[in-house]
Amino acid sequence: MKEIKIQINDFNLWYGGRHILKDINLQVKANRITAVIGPSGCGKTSLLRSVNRLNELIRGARHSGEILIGADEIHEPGTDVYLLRKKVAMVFQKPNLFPDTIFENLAFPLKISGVKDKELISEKITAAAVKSEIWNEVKDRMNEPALNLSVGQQQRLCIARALVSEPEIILMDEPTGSLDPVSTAKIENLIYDMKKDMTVMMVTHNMNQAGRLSDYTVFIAQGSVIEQNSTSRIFTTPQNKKTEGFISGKINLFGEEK
Amino acid sequence: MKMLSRFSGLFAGRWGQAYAGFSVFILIAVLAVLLFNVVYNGTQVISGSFSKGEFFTAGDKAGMLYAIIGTLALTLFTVVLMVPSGVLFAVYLAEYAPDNYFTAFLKLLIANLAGVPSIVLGMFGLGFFVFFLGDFTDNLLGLKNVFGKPSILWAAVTLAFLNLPTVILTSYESLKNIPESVRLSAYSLGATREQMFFRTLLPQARPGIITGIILAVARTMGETAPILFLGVVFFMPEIPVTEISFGLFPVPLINPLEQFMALPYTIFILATQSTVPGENVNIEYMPTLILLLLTIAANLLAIKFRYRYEKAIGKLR
Repeated sequence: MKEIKIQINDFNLWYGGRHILKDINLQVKANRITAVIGPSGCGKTSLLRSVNRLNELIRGARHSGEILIGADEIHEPGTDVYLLRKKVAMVFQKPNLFPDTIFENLAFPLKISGVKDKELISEKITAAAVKSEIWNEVKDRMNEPALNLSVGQQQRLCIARALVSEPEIILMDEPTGSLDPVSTAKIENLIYDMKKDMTVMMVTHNMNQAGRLSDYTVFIAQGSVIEQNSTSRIFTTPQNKKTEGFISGKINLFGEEK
Repeated sequence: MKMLSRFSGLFAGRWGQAYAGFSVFILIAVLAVLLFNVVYNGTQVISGSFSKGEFFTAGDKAGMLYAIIGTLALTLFTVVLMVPSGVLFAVYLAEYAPDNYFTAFLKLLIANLAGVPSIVLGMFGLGFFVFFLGDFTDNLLGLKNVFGKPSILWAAVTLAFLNLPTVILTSYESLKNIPESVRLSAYSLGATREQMFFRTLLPQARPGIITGIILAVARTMGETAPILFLGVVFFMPEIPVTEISFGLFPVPLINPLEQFMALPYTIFILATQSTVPGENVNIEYMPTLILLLLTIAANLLAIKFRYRYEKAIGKLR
Protein backbone atom coordinates (compact mmCIF):
# COMPACT_ATOMS: atom_id res chain seq x y z
CA MET A 1 0.00 0.00 0.00
CA LYS A 2 1.33 3.37 -1.02
CA GLU A 3 1.59 6.16 1.52
CA ILE A 4 -1.11 8.81 1.56
CA LYS A 5 -0.01 12.20 0.20
CA ILE A 6 -3.22 14.22 0.49
CA GLN A 7 -5.77 13.47 3.18
CA ILE A 8 -9.01 15.47 3.08
CA ASN A 9 -11.21 15.23 6.17
CA ASP A 10 -14.80 16.49 6.40
CA PHE A 11 -14.04 19.34 4.04
CA ASN A 12 -16.81 21.80 3.17
CA LEU A 13 -16.61 24.81 0.87
CA TRP A 14 -19.02 27.67 0.37
CA TYR A 15 -19.00 30.53 -2.13
CA GLY A 16 -21.16 33.08 -0.40
CA GLY A 17 -24.37 31.23 0.31
CA ARG A 18 -23.70 28.38 -2.11
CA HIS A 19 -22.54 25.12 -0.59
CA ILE A 20 -20.06 23.84 -3.19
CA LEU A 21 -18.30 20.94 -1.49
CA LYS A 22 -20.07 18.82 1.11
CA ASP A 23 -18.26 16.72 3.70
CA ILE A 24 -15.48 15.60 1.40
CA ASN A 25 -13.41 12.71 2.73
CA LEU A 26 -10.69 11.72 0.35
CA GLN A 27 -7.28 10.15 0.18
CA VAL A 28 -4.78 10.69 -2.59
CA LYS A 29 -1.88 8.27 -2.68
CA ALA A 30 1.67 9.39 -3.24
CA ASN A 31 3.23 8.84 -6.67
CA ARG A 32 -0.06 7.78 -8.16
CA ILE A 33 -2.45 9.44 -10.57
CA THR A 34 -5.85 10.14 -9.09
CA ALA A 35 -8.59 11.13 -11.51
CA VAL A 36 -11.54 13.22 -10.35
CA ILE A 37 -14.63 12.70 -12.50
CA GLY A 38 -18.19 13.93 -12.31
CA PRO A 39 -20.84 16.04 -13.99
CA SER A 40 -20.15 19.69 -14.86
CA GLY A 41 -20.51 22.04 -11.93
CA CYS A 42 -20.22 19.28 -9.36
CA GLY A 43 -17.23 20.89 -7.64
CA LYS A 44 -14.27 19.06 -9.18
CA THR A 45 -12.36 22.23 -9.98
CA SER A 46 -13.24 23.75 -6.61
CA LEU A 47 -11.88 20.64 -4.93
CA LEU A 48 -8.63 20.94 -6.87
CA ARG A 49 -8.31 24.61 -6.04
CA SER A 50 -8.85 23.87 -2.37
CA VAL A 51 -5.68 21.81 -2.27
CA ASN A 52 -3.45 24.77 -3.19
CA ARG A 53 -5.72 27.27 -1.44
CA LEU A 54 -6.47 29.10 -4.67
CA ASN A 55 -10.12 29.38 -3.64
CA GLU A 56 -9.13 31.94 -1.05
CA LEU A 57 -8.80 34.50 -3.81
CA ILE A 58 -12.51 34.29 -4.48
CA ARG A 59 -14.55 36.79 -2.52
CA GLY A 60 -16.94 35.17 -0.09
CA ALA A 61 -15.26 31.77 -0.13
CA ARG A 62 -15.04 29.97 3.22
CA HIS A 63 -14.42 26.43 4.29
CA SER A 64 -14.53 23.98 7.17
CA GLY A 65 -12.66 20.74 7.74
CA GLU A 66 -9.05 19.95 7.02
CA ILE A 67 -6.70 19.09 4.21
CA LEU A 68 -3.44 17.42 5.12
CA ILE A 69 -0.46 17.25 2.81
CA GLY A 70 1.91 14.72 4.30
CA ALA A 71 1.44 15.48 7.99
CA ASP A 72 0.78 19.22 7.63
CA GLU A 73 -2.65 20.81 7.73
CA ILE A 74 -2.54 23.44 4.98
CA HIS A 75 -4.92 25.89 6.70
CA GLU A 76 -2.83 25.90 9.89
CA PRO A 77 -2.02 29.50 10.88
CA GLY A 78 1.54 30.29 9.91
CA THR A 79 1.44 28.16 6.79
CA ASP A 80 3.31 29.89 3.98
CA VAL A 81 0.63 29.80 1.31
CA TYR A 82 3.08 30.93 -1.39
CA LEU A 83 5.42 28.07 -0.56
CA LEU A 84 2.41 25.75 -0.54
CA ARG A 85 1.51 26.80 -4.07
CA LYS A 86 5.06 26.16 -5.22
CA LYS A 87 4.94 22.68 -3.68
CA VAL A 88 1.44 22.04 -5.05
CA ALA A 89 1.61 23.17 -8.66
CA MET A 90 -1.38 23.58 -10.92
CA VAL A 91 -2.09 23.30 -14.64
CA PHE A 92 -5.30 24.78 -16.02
CA GLN A 93 -7.62 23.76 -18.81
CA LYS A 94 -6.49 26.52 -21.12
CA PRO A 95 -2.81 27.36 -21.35
CA ASN A 96 -2.32 30.57 -19.36
CA LEU A 97 1.18 31.73 -20.21
CA PHE A 98 2.13 35.33 -19.60
CA PRO A 99 2.44 37.52 -22.70
CA ASP A 100 6.19 37.51 -22.36
CA THR A 101 9.10 35.49 -23.74
CA ILE A 102 9.36 31.74 -23.31
CA PHE A 103 12.33 32.25 -21.02
CA GLU A 104 10.54 34.74 -18.78
CA ASN A 105 7.60 32.37 -18.45
CA LEU A 106 9.79 29.48 -17.39
CA ALA A 107 11.92 31.62 -15.09
CA PHE A 108 8.92 33.25 -13.36
CA PRO A 109 8.59 30.75 -10.47
CA LEU A 110 12.32 31.05 -9.75
CA LYS A 111 12.44 34.82 -10.01
CA ILE A 112 9.58 35.27 -7.56
CA SER A 113 11.44 32.98 -5.19
CA GLY A 114 14.38 35.35 -5.35
CA VAL A 115 16.71 33.11 -7.36
CA LYS A 116 19.24 35.35 -9.09
CA ASP A 117 21.95 32.90 -10.13
CA LYS A 118 21.64 32.78 -13.92
CA GLU A 119 23.25 29.36 -14.24
CA LEU A 120 20.94 27.88 -11.66
CA ILE A 121 17.92 29.37 -13.43
CA SER A 122 19.00 28.03 -16.79
CA GLU A 123 19.76 24.62 -15.26
CA LYS A 124 16.38 24.35 -13.59
CA ILE A 125 14.29 25.53 -16.51
CA THR A 126 16.19 23.21 -18.85
CA ALA A 127 15.45 20.25 -16.58
CA ALA A 128 11.77 21.15 -16.38
CA ALA A 129 11.49 21.72 -20.12
CA VAL A 130 13.21 18.41 -20.87
CA LYS A 131 10.86 16.62 -18.49
CA SER A 132 7.87 18.25 -20.20
CA GLU A 133 9.24 17.22 -23.60
CA ILE A 134 9.09 20.78 -24.87
CA TRP A 135 12.83 21.47 -24.67
CA ASN A 136 13.67 20.54 -28.26
CA GLU A 137 10.94 22.80 -29.56
CA VAL A 138 11.85 25.86 -27.51
CA LYS A 139 15.58 25.69 -26.79
CA ASP A 140 16.44 27.93 -29.74
CA ARG A 141 13.51 30.31 -29.27
CA MET A 142 13.81 31.21 -25.61
CA ASN A 143 13.51 34.93 -26.34
CA GLU A 144 10.47 34.66 -28.57
CA PRO A 145 7.00 35.54 -27.29
CA ALA A 146 5.50 32.45 -25.66
CA LEU A 147 2.14 33.15 -27.25
CA ASN A 148 3.64 32.43 -30.69
CA LEU A 149 3.67 28.71 -29.81
CA SER A 150 0.83 26.40 -30.79
CA VAL A 151 -1.81 25.72 -28.13
CA GLY A 152 -0.46 22.21 -27.54
CA GLN A 153 3.07 23.54 -27.11
CA GLN A 154 1.78 26.29 -24.84
CA GLN A 155 0.13 23.72 -22.60
CA ARG A 156 3.36 21.70 -22.36
CA LEU A 157 5.18 24.94 -21.58
CA CYS A 158 2.65 25.55 -18.80
CA ILE A 159 3.45 22.11 -17.44
CA ALA A 160 7.16 22.87 -17.67
CA ARG A 161 6.61 26.15 -15.83
CA ALA A 162 4.70 24.30 -13.13
CA LEU A 163 7.55 21.79 -12.80
CA VAL A 164 10.28 24.43 -12.48
CA SER A 165 9.80 24.81 -8.73
CA GLU A 166 9.97 21.01 -8.35
CA PRO A 167 6.53 20.45 -6.83
CA GLU A 168 5.55 17.38 -4.82
CA ILE A 169 2.01 17.44 -6.10
CA ILE A 170 0.63 18.58 -9.43
CA LEU A 171 -3.02 19.46 -9.83
CA MET A 172 -4.37 19.24 -13.35
CA ASP A 173 -7.69 20.80 -14.22
CA GLU A 174 -8.70 19.15 -17.51
CA PRO A 175 -5.21 19.64 -18.91
CA THR A 176 -6.19 18.36 -22.35
CA GLY A 177 -9.64 19.95 -22.41
CA SER A 178 -8.79 22.39 -25.19
CA LEU A 179 -6.32 20.31 -27.19
CA ASP A 180 -6.30 18.24 -30.37
CA PRO A 181 -5.79 14.43 -30.17
CA VAL A 182 -2.07 14.51 -30.96
CA SER A 183 -1.29 17.14 -28.31
CA THR A 184 -3.56 15.24 -25.91
CA ALA A 185 -1.59 12.04 -26.43
CA LYS A 186 1.70 13.87 -25.78
CA ILE A 187 0.39 15.34 -22.55
CA GLU A 188 -1.07 12.03 -21.41
CA ASN A 189 2.36 10.45 -21.84
CA LEU A 190 3.85 13.28 -19.82
CA ILE A 191 1.37 12.83 -17.00
CA TYR A 192 2.03 9.10 -16.96
CA ASP A 193 5.77 9.69 -16.59
CA MET A 194 5.27 12.33 -13.92
CA LYS A 195 4.12 9.93 -11.25
CA LYS A 196 7.68 8.73 -10.79
CA ASP A 197 8.50 12.06 -9.15
CA MET A 198 5.23 13.41 -7.83
CA THR A 199 1.61 12.89 -6.97
CA VAL A 200 -0.88 13.77 -9.68
CA MET A 201 -4.47 14.80 -9.08
CA MET A 202 -6.37 15.35 -12.28
CA VAL A 203 -9.84 16.51 -13.23
CA THR A 204 -11.06 15.10 -16.52
CA HIS A 205 -14.26 14.94 -18.50
CA ASN A 206 -12.87 12.22 -20.69
CA MET A 207 -13.77 8.79 -19.26
CA ASN A 208 -11.31 7.06 -21.58
CA GLN A 209 -8.56 9.31 -20.34
CA ALA A 210 -9.41 8.58 -16.72
CA GLY A 211 -9.44 4.86 -17.50
CA ARG A 212 -6.17 4.93 -19.44
CA LEU A 213 -4.13 7.08 -17.15
CA SER A 214 -5.24 6.99 -13.56
CA ASP A 215 -4.56 4.55 -10.77
CA TYR A 216 -7.39 5.79 -8.60
CA THR A 217 -10.66 7.45 -9.48
CA VAL A 218 -12.92 9.65 -7.41
CA PHE A 219 -16.48 10.21 -8.57
CA ILE A 220 -18.08 13.43 -7.37
CA ALA A 221 -21.66 14.55 -7.92
CA GLN A 222 -23.38 17.62 -6.52
CA GLY A 223 -20.47 18.45 -4.27
CA SER A 224 -20.23 15.06 -2.56
CA VAL A 225 -17.88 12.16 -3.08
CA ILE A 226 -20.08 9.32 -4.35
CA GLU A 227 -17.40 6.72 -4.74
CA GLN A 228 -13.64 6.38 -4.65
CA ASN A 229 -11.60 3.35 -5.48
CA SER A 230 -8.90 2.03 -7.76
CA THR A 231 -9.68 2.92 -11.34
CA SER A 232 -10.04 -0.69 -12.42
CA ARG A 233 -12.66 -1.34 -9.73
CA ILE A 234 -14.58 1.86 -10.45
CA PHE A 235 -14.69 1.18 -14.15
CA THR A 236 -15.50 -2.56 -13.92
CA THR A 237 -17.55 -3.02 -10.75
CA PRO A 238 -18.81 0.32 -9.48
CA GLN A 239 -20.58 0.02 -6.15
CA ASN A 240 -22.92 2.94 -6.64
CA LYS A 241 -25.66 3.12 -9.26
CA LYS A 242 -24.88 6.78 -10.00
CA THR A 243 -21.24 5.97 -10.68
CA GLU A 244 -22.24 3.21 -13.02
CA GLY A 245 -24.70 5.49 -14.78
CA PHE A 246 -22.10 8.23 -15.22
CA ILE A 247 -19.31 5.98 -16.46
CA SER A 248 -21.50 4.09 -18.86
CA GLY A 249 -22.86 7.39 -20.20
CA LYS A 250 -26.41 6.89 -18.92
CA ILE A 251 -26.02 10.07 -16.88
CA ASN A 252 -24.67 12.88 -18.99
CA LEU A 253 -22.12 15.48 -18.05
CA PHE A 254 -24.80 17.69 -16.59
CA GLY A 255 -25.99 14.99 -14.23
CA GLU A 256 -29.24 14.34 -16.07
CA GLU A 257 -30.40 10.84 -16.84
CA LYS A 258 -30.79 10.11 -20.51
CA MET B 1 -32.00 42.62 -37.81
CA LYS B 2 -34.34 44.38 -40.16
CA MET B 3 -33.17 47.78 -38.99
CA LEU B 4 -29.59 46.74 -39.39
CA SER B 5 -30.06 45.53 -42.93
CA ARG B 6 -31.86 48.74 -43.78
CA PHE B 7 -28.95 50.79 -42.54
CA SER B 8 -26.31 48.61 -44.10
CA GLY B 9 -28.25 48.87 -47.34
CA LEU B 10 -27.69 52.60 -47.14
CA PHE B 11 -23.96 52.09 -47.56
CA ALA B 12 -24.07 49.08 -49.83
CA GLY B 13 -24.71 50.34 -53.34
CA ARG B 14 -22.59 52.46 -55.60
CA TRP B 15 -24.04 55.65 -54.11
CA GLY B 16 -23.27 54.47 -50.62
CA GLN B 17 -19.66 53.81 -51.52
CA ALA B 18 -19.38 57.19 -53.14
CA TYR B 19 -20.83 58.79 -50.02
CA ALA B 20 -18.40 56.99 -47.72
CA GLY B 21 -15.48 57.85 -49.98
CA PHE B 22 -16.55 61.48 -50.06
CA SER B 23 -16.73 61.63 -46.25
CA VAL B 24 -13.20 60.29 -45.94
CA PHE B 25 -12.02 62.72 -48.59
CA ILE B 26 -13.57 65.71 -46.82
CA LEU B 27 -11.98 64.71 -43.52
CA ILE B 28 -8.52 64.25 -44.97
CA ALA B 29 -8.82 67.40 -47.08
CA VAL B 30 -9.76 69.58 -44.10
CA LEU B 31 -6.89 68.16 -42.07
CA ALA B 32 -4.46 68.64 -44.93
CA VAL B 33 -5.51 72.24 -45.54
CA LEU B 34 -5.27 73.01 -41.82
CA LEU B 35 -1.84 71.45 -41.46
CA PHE B 36 -0.53 73.01 -44.65
CA ASN B 37 -1.86 76.43 -43.74
CA VAL B 38 -0.40 76.39 -40.23
CA VAL B 39 2.90 74.81 -41.19
CA TYR B 40 3.51 76.94 -44.27
CA ASN B 41 2.64 80.29 -42.72
CA GLY B 42 4.06 79.35 -39.34
CA THR B 43 7.48 78.39 -40.66
CA GLN B 44 7.63 81.63 -42.67
CA VAL B 45 6.82 83.80 -39.68
CA ILE B 46 9.18 81.86 -37.43
CA SER B 47 12.10 82.02 -39.85
CA GLY B 48 11.37 85.71 -40.29
CA SER B 49 11.45 86.32 -36.57
CA PHE B 50 14.59 84.23 -36.25
CA SER B 51 16.40 86.24 -38.87
CA LYS B 52 15.37 89.46 -37.18
CA GLY B 53 16.47 87.97 -33.84
CA GLU B 54 13.02 88.48 -32.37
CA PHE B 55 12.09 84.90 -31.64
CA PHE B 56 13.64 84.84 -28.20
CA THR B 57 12.82 88.39 -27.23
CA ALA B 58 10.17 88.45 -24.61
CA GLY B 59 7.57 91.14 -24.69
CA ASP B 60 8.07 91.80 -28.33
CA LYS B 61 5.10 90.80 -30.44
CA ALA B 62 7.20 88.04 -31.92
CA GLY B 63 8.78 86.71 -28.70
CA MET B 64 7.73 83.12 -28.30
CA LEU B 65 10.38 81.63 -26.04
CA TYR B 66 8.81 82.56 -22.72
CA ALA B 67 5.46 81.21 -23.82
CA ILE B 68 7.09 77.90 -24.80
CA ILE B 69 8.94 77.73 -21.49
CA GLY B 70 5.76 78.61 -19.63
CA THR B 71 3.73 75.90 -21.37
CA LEU B 72 6.44 73.30 -20.82
CA ALA B 73 6.83 74.23 -17.15
CA LEU B 74 3.10 74.16 -16.58
CA THR B 75 2.87 70.76 -18.28
CA LEU B 76 5.77 69.42 -16.25
CA PHE B 77 4.25 70.50 -12.92
CA THR B 78 0.88 69.10 -13.99
CA VAL B 79 2.41 65.74 -14.91
CA VAL B 80 4.26 65.53 -11.59
CA LEU B 81 0.97 66.11 -9.74
CA MET B 82 -1.31 64.12 -12.02
CA VAL B 83 0.50 60.95 -13.05
CA PRO B 84 1.45 59.31 -9.76
CA SER B 85 -1.87 60.03 -8.09
CA GLY B 86 -3.88 59.05 -11.16
CA VAL B 87 -2.10 55.75 -11.75
CA LEU B 88 -2.12 54.81 -8.06
CA PHE B 89 -5.81 55.62 -7.83
CA ALA B 90 -6.49 53.40 -10.85
CA VAL B 91 -4.47 50.60 -9.28
CA TYR B 92 -6.48 50.95 -6.08
CA LEU B 93 -9.77 50.87 -8.00
CA ALA B 94 -8.82 47.93 -10.19
CA GLU B 95 -6.98 45.73 -7.70
CA TYR B 96 -7.70 46.67 -4.12
CA ALA B 97 -11.08 48.38 -3.85
CA PRO B 98 -13.82 46.16 -2.45
CA ASP B 99 -16.74 45.56 -4.78
CA ASN B 100 -19.31 47.71 -2.99
CA TYR B 101 -21.45 50.81 -3.33
CA PHE B 102 -18.67 53.11 -2.18
CA THR B 103 -16.40 51.95 -5.01
CA ALA B 104 -19.22 52.33 -7.51
CA PHE B 105 -19.81 55.83 -6.14
CA LEU B 106 -16.10 56.67 -6.56
CA LYS B 107 -16.20 55.55 -10.19
CA LEU B 108 -19.30 57.66 -10.74
CA LEU B 109 -17.53 60.69 -9.27
CA ILE B 110 -14.57 60.25 -11.59
CA ALA B 111 -16.80 59.87 -14.62
CA ASN B 112 -18.56 63.07 -13.58
CA LEU B 113 -15.30 64.91 -13.03
CA ALA B 114 -14.45 64.06 -16.64
CA GLY B 115 -17.60 65.89 -17.71
CA VAL B 116 -17.02 69.14 -15.83
CA PRO B 117 -16.48 72.03 -18.28
CA SER B 118 -12.90 73.21 -18.05
CA ILE B 119 -13.85 76.81 -17.38
CA VAL B 120 -15.93 75.73 -14.39
CA LEU B 121 -12.97 73.83 -13.03
CA GLY B 122 -10.87 76.95 -13.60
CA MET B 123 -13.32 78.96 -11.50
CA PHE B 124 -13.13 76.27 -8.85
CA GLY B 125 -9.34 76.43 -8.96
CA LEU B 126 -9.43 80.18 -8.33
CA GLY B 127 -11.97 79.95 -5.55
CA PHE B 128 -10.73 76.88 -3.76
CA PHE B 129 -7.02 76.56 -4.45
CA VAL B 130 -6.00 80.21 -4.69
CA PHE B 131 -8.36 82.01 -2.35
CA PHE B 132 -8.94 79.23 0.16
CA LEU B 133 -5.96 76.87 0.15
CA GLY B 134 -3.43 79.53 -0.88
CA ASP B 135 -4.55 82.12 1.67
CA PHE B 136 -4.78 79.42 4.31
CA THR B 137 -1.19 78.35 3.63
CA ASP B 138 -0.04 81.98 3.72
CA ASN B 139 -1.73 82.55 7.07
CA LEU B 140 -0.32 79.32 8.42
CA LEU B 141 3.24 80.24 7.44
CA GLY B 142 2.82 83.91 8.32
CA LEU B 143 3.40 85.01 4.73
CA LYS B 144 1.63 87.52 2.57
CA ASN B 145 0.63 86.87 -1.03
CA VAL B 146 3.04 84.01 -1.61
CA PHE B 147 0.64 81.12 -2.04
CA GLY B 148 -2.54 83.16 -2.12
CA LYS B 149 -2.25 84.41 -5.67
CA PRO B 150 -2.73 82.87 -9.11
CA SER B 151 0.43 81.00 -10.16
CA ILE B 152 1.85 78.03 -12.07
CA LEU B 153 1.34 75.88 -8.98
CA TRP B 154 -2.42 76.40 -8.76
CA ALA B 155 -2.81 76.27 -12.54
CA ALA B 156 -1.01 72.92 -12.53
CA VAL B 157 -3.11 71.59 -9.65
CA THR B 158 -6.29 72.58 -11.46
CA LEU B 159 -5.14 71.11 -14.78
CA ALA B 160 -4.14 67.94 -12.94
CA PHE B 161 -7.70 67.64 -11.62
CA LEU B 162 -9.06 68.37 -15.07
CA ASN B 163 -7.12 65.54 -16.69
CA LEU B 164 -7.05 63.12 -13.78
CA PRO B 165 -10.13 61.25 -15.05
CA THR B 166 -8.37 60.51 -18.35
CA VAL B 167 -5.37 59.03 -16.58
CA ILE B 168 -7.47 57.13 -14.04
CA LEU B 169 -9.96 55.72 -16.51
CA THR B 170 -7.42 54.61 -19.14
CA SER B 171 -5.18 53.04 -16.50
CA TYR B 172 -8.17 51.38 -14.85
CA GLU B 173 -9.40 49.99 -18.15
CA SER B 174 -5.99 48.63 -19.14
CA LEU B 175 -5.70 46.85 -15.78
CA LYS B 176 -9.26 45.51 -15.90
CA ASN B 177 -8.85 44.26 -19.46
CA ILE B 178 -6.18 41.78 -18.40
CA PRO B 179 -7.92 38.40 -18.21
CA GLU B 180 -8.47 36.84 -14.81
CA SER B 181 -6.50 33.79 -15.95
CA VAL B 182 -3.29 35.82 -15.88
CA ARG B 183 -3.80 36.67 -12.22
CA LEU B 184 -4.72 33.08 -11.40
CA SER B 185 -1.72 31.85 -13.32
CA ALA B 186 0.67 34.00 -11.28
CA TYR B 187 -0.99 33.08 -7.98
CA SER B 188 -0.93 29.37 -8.81
CA LEU B 189 2.84 29.61 -9.27
CA GLY B 190 3.19 30.99 -5.75
CA ALA B 191 3.36 34.72 -6.46
CA THR B 192 2.38 37.17 -3.75
CA ARG B 193 -0.08 39.90 -4.60
CA GLU B 194 2.72 42.41 -5.13
CA GLN B 195 4.73 40.04 -7.32
CA MET B 196 1.63 39.24 -9.32
CA PHE B 197 0.95 42.94 -9.80
CA PHE B 198 4.43 44.17 -10.62
CA ARG B 199 5.58 41.22 -12.70
CA THR B 200 2.47 40.35 -14.67
CA LEU B 201 -0.21 43.04 -14.57
CA LEU B 202 1.90 46.17 -14.79
CA PRO B 203 3.96 45.13 -17.84
CA GLN B 204 0.75 44.23 -19.64
CA ALA B 205 -1.12 47.38 -18.66
CA ARG B 206 1.81 49.69 -19.37
CA PRO B 207 1.06 50.52 -23.03
CA GLY B 208 -2.48 51.55 -22.11
CA ILE B 209 -1.41 53.52 -19.05
CA ILE B 210 1.26 55.43 -20.98
CA THR B 211 -1.14 56.19 -23.80
CA GLY B 212 -3.57 57.68 -21.30
CA ILE B 213 -0.88 59.78 -19.67
CA ILE B 214 0.34 61.23 -22.94
CA LEU B 215 -3.19 61.96 -24.12
CA ALA B 216 -3.69 63.88 -20.90
CA VAL B 217 -0.38 65.69 -21.41
CA ALA B 218 -1.33 66.73 -24.93
CA ARG B 219 -4.60 68.11 -23.62
CA THR B 220 -2.85 69.92 -20.78
CA MET B 221 -0.63 71.77 -23.21
CA GLY B 222 -3.55 73.10 -25.20
CA GLU B 223 -5.88 73.94 -22.32
CA THR B 224 -6.80 77.63 -22.29
CA ALA B 225 -9.98 78.27 -20.35
CA PRO B 226 -9.02 77.08 -16.86
CA ILE B 227 -5.70 78.93 -16.78
CA LEU B 228 -7.39 82.27 -17.58
CA PHE B 229 -8.01 82.81 -13.88
CA LEU B 230 -4.90 81.11 -12.66
CA GLY B 231 -1.97 83.33 -13.41
CA VAL B 232 -1.43 83.22 -17.13
CA VAL B 233 -0.25 86.50 -18.64
CA PHE B 234 0.41 87.77 -22.14
CA PHE B 235 3.60 89.53 -21.35
CA MET B 236 6.43 88.97 -18.90
CA PRO B 237 9.65 90.94 -18.76
CA GLU B 238 11.55 87.87 -17.53
CA ILE B 239 11.07 84.26 -16.54
CA PRO B 240 10.89 83.90 -12.75
CA VAL B 241 13.74 81.61 -11.84
CA THR B 242 14.69 80.50 -8.38
CA GLU B 243 17.77 78.52 -7.56
CA ILE B 244 17.26 75.46 -5.44
CA SER B 245 20.55 74.24 -4.07
CA PHE B 246 21.26 70.55 -3.73
CA GLY B 247 24.35 70.84 -1.58
CA LEU B 248 26.99 72.29 -3.87
CA PHE B 249 24.84 72.33 -6.99
CA PRO B 250 22.37 75.16 -7.32
CA VAL B 251 19.70 74.09 -9.80
CA PRO B 252 17.78 76.85 -11.54
CA LEU B 253 14.06 76.11 -11.46
CA ILE B 254 11.10 78.06 -12.66
CA ASN B 255 9.39 79.46 -9.60
CA PRO B 256 6.01 77.74 -9.47
CA LEU B 257 4.60 80.49 -7.27
CA GLU B 258 4.83 83.10 -10.01
CA GLN B 259 2.73 83.97 -13.04
CA PHE B 260 3.55 82.51 -16.41
CA MET B 261 3.10 82.80 -20.16
CA ALA B 262 1.50 80.01 -22.15
CA LEU B 263 1.13 79.29 -25.87
CA PRO B 264 -2.66 78.80 -26.03
CA TYR B 265 -3.25 82.01 -24.10
CA THR B 266 -0.88 83.89 -26.40
CA ILE B 267 -2.93 82.68 -29.37
CA PHE B 268 -6.12 83.75 -27.64
CA ILE B 269 -4.88 87.24 -26.85
CA LEU B 270 -3.34 87.81 -30.26
CA ALA B 271 -6.62 86.81 -31.86
CA THR B 272 -8.98 88.81 -29.66
CA GLN B 273 -7.26 91.75 -28.10
CA SER B 274 -5.74 93.52 -31.06
CA THR B 275 -6.59 97.17 -31.59
CA VAL B 276 -6.21 96.72 -35.32
CA PRO B 277 -8.18 93.63 -36.35
CA GLY B 278 -6.21 91.37 -38.68
CA GLU B 279 -2.89 92.94 -37.85
CA ASN B 280 -1.73 90.01 -35.76
CA VAL B 281 -2.80 87.19 -38.05
CA ASN B 282 0.73 86.62 -39.26
CA ILE B 283 2.25 86.47 -35.83
CA GLU B 284 -0.49 84.19 -34.62
CA TYR B 285 0.72 81.39 -36.87
CA MET B 286 3.79 81.13 -34.72
CA PRO B 287 2.33 80.00 -31.37
CA THR B 288 -0.22 77.93 -33.29
CA LEU B 289 2.45 75.99 -35.14
CA ILE B 290 4.56 75.51 -32.02
CA LEU B 291 1.59 74.24 -30.02
CA LEU B 292 0.61 71.93 -32.84
CA LEU B 293 4.13 70.54 -33.05
CA LEU B 294 4.28 69.99 -29.29
CA THR B 295 0.99 68.10 -29.36
CA ILE B 296 2.04 66.01 -32.33
CA ALA B 297 5.33 65.25 -30.60
CA ALA B 298 3.44 64.04 -27.52
CA ASN B 299 1.25 61.80 -29.64
CA LEU B 300 4.23 60.37 -31.55
CA LEU B 301 5.86 59.65 -28.22
CA ALA B 302 2.71 57.79 -27.16
CA ILE B 303 2.75 55.70 -30.31
CA LYS B 304 6.42 54.94 -29.87
CA PHE B 305 6.02 53.80 -26.25
CA ARG B 306 2.98 51.73 -27.02
CA TYR B 307 4.75 50.03 -29.88
CA ARG B 308 7.79 49.27 -27.77
CA TYR B 309 5.89 47.87 -24.79
CA GLU B 310 3.43 45.92 -26.90
CA LYS B 311 6.35 44.37 -28.70
CA ALA B 312 7.92 43.54 -25.36
CA ILE B 313 4.85 41.63 -24.22
CA GLY B 314 4.49 39.91 -27.58
CA LYS B 315 1.22 41.43 -28.75
CA LEU B 316 2.91 42.43 -31.98
CA ARG B 317 4.63 39.74 -33.96
